[in-house]
Amino acid sequence: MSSTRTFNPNQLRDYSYLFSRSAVKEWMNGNLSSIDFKIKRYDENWYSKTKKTYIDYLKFVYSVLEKQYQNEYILKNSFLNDWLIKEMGESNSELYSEFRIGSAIADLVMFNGTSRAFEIKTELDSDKRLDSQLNQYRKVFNEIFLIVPVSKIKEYETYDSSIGIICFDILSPKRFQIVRSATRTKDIDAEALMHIFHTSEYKEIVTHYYGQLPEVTSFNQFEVCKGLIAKIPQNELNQLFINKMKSRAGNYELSARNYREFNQLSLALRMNMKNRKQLFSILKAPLNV
Amino acid sequence: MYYPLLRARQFELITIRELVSENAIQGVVTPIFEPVKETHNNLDIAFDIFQQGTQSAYLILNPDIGEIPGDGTHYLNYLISKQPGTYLPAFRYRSNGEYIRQAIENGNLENCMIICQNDVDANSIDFTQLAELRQVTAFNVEDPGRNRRLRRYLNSLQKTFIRLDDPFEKQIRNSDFLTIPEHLFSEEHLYFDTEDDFDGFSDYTVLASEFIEGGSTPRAVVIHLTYLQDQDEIWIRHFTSDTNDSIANVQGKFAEAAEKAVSFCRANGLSNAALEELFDHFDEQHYPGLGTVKKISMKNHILVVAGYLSGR
Repeated sequence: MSSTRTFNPNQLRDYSYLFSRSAVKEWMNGNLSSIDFKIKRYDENWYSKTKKTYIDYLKFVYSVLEKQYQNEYILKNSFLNDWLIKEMGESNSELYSEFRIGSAIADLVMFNGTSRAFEIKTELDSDKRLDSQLNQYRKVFNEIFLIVPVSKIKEYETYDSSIGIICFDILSPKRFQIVRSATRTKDIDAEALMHIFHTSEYKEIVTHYYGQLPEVTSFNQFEVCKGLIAKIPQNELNQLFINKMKSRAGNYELSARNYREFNQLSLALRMNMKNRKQLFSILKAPLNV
Repeated sequence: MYYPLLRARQFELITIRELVSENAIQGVVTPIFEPVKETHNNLDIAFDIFQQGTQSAYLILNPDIGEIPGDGTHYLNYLISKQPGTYLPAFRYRSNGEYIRQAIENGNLENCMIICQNDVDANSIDFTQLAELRQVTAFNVEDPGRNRRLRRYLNSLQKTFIRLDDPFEKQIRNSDFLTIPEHLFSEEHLYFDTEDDFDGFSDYTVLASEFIEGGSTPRAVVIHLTYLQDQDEIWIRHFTSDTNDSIANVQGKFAEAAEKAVSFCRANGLSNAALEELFDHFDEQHYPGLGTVKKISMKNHILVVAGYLSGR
């Protein structure tokens, strides 16, 4: 298959479905018909020439999308592979895809010595909600980065100068480059934190910091703990928050080398090593169309 | 007779177990369970209690949903492994008369119920051959008023004929119940036999008929309570939490919903075993978990219906 071949937008959109949560959940149940459909519809020749496995076909589709259809999946996955996985190797880090803070959901967040939120804006995205998203992220994250296409740098530079900017050009050899660093803050909003913590987590933080949990009922524990957590000095609270998020660690096996096309899906579906192995063993089956 | 149709999940089975232990439904309620799990643990626990309490319950052997849906033998084999009389066989009919007849023959089944939609063709041989079997003794038909031919045919068979209604109006979001005041829920218990000539009626209690696997943490907690109004109609009230802007603090949301429910019940002198349990949790400021909240709503509804049927 020639790398210069141009695909029509509908076909690319159709391909991109293969890297969605719902498709992968089906595969985990052993149902690979979503892949069979695409092969029958678009790639019977590819199949008959090569006799390969499902995973070979998915890698082929990914490579097409990477060159010609940079949707959010491709961007997130590239950013994971090119940037975050390298950083993770250096420290004990925890990554989340789609992390909810109040009414907003950050595309990627990372906790190591500090907490960072990454918001991706592709060519297709508008900046309509950006102000309110940033307001939410500022409440709990030490650093915030926007990931934007080269063509849009000027537009996003006008936002709050404390926000870092990373630009992407997926076709250049160095695909992600830092345009502006983020300013580090340690202001942290206890109310916002309470909506991130699970019940056991906020109780553990109070117990850990104050030595014991005061007498509470299940009706008032939220308010009581919120009041106590709000009194913890910001620096310490920041650290307690980061440690808590790191302790949710899921033992993910992200890899920049093996099955790099699937890292973002592993993260989004919170797959552990066993799930990931199971998925790839299903996908290693020879194509059966 | 009232035939609540419930998924055979943990809290649905606990609800009926408690009602049987309290001797509250025998003689007026026969539950129908649609199993959704492959394992039988919860059904086993319930079986022993039902057997002791001389309560029977239908078990759907070819469920539409869950881990093992469709026309198989998994639940049939389970039913055969139990002493007869407590779990009774029920089948969902979907032009699969041949499968059901085979299952009845292979399992040596008696007292079978056929559950169907109102789109069944009463002239089809697949259906009539099944319907006229001696071992088939009951029919449960969704909204049967819409198929007069079917209704006439089933009436002519002189077997138990039950109507199934779905009166619970599910909202897109739980928090949407906040704006809904009390409203009429059901009158079937008043008219199913006297005016409509049915032998019984079925519904999904105060649960949505649609099946959703698992479930995520809700943004709003709702306690759905039914009660008898002056004319013995069953009305429903949805007691909904107020702080529904995030999924945090489900305990606090329960406290808000329970406060509204408890004040309403106490002000109106409503009480039964399910409501007493709610009062206790509220008075002790204890959050019992969402499964128990669901159990209380279901149990209250079945008690309301059973109380009416046994008192008339």
